Amino acid sequence: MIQEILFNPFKKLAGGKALGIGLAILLLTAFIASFSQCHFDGVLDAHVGAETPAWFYYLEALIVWSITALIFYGTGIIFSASKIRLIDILGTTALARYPFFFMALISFAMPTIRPNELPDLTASFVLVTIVMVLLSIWYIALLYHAFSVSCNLKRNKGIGAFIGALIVAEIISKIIFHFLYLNF
Amino acid sequence: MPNSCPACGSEMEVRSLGCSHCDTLVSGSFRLPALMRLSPEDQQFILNFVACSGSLKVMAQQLKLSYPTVRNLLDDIISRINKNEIKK
Repeated sequence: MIQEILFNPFKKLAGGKALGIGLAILLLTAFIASFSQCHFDGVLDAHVGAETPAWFYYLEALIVWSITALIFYGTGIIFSASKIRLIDILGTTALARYPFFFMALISFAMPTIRPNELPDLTASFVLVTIVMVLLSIWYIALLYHAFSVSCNLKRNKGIGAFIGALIVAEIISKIIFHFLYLNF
Repeated sequence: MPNSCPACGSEMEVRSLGCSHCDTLVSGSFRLPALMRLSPEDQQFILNFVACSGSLKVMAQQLKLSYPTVRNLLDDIISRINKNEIKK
């Protein structure tokens, strides 16, 4: 039961309900991130430090989530034999981002890293980094199950399609954020 | 009713059918119908699906599962039925 909640809540929760809960968590995460200066500037990325206006954190979260969902939807249409619904993909990918809520919180403990300087390898820095890596792994596990359940793609085909979609989504998000940051 | 052999796992066939009214016995080799070749769980799913008038949404509410999970279960059953038909 706990394993299901942690790694695959989508067996019982998808569609509009997952979207409502997922969006609420996403916006709350962006709110906390605006204080801890944690930027989610890629599908798998999180960086702490750059000061930006508060609305930027919300924009980052919405861009990353929507790109992931749209690429997953396209991948599902191409590779899945099932009639997939966009609302399921939107909902499950939004809900899959809940580990980032904890990442935004733990970023308060991350020391400020000055530009062009290496961070001091203190115990707290190492510990926070390890926790952030574990949270990222947790997120990827959730995202895979979101993709697998919403698109009905499993085993080797599902894993291959998931990895491909993730890479494409990451590339597109990096391009978008590159042009976004250029203008700010 | 078993649909696979408990000894070797192969598909079972019906060899004789009897009438409980006049004791007539019909012997032969009759392949199980497509639905009977599915597992008991799959057969129950199909019965539930028909009882819900074919609504995946209603089934999801009854089984307390998400809509895509129920859809995936149905698609998996369709895939197994198609595989069984190809084996014919």
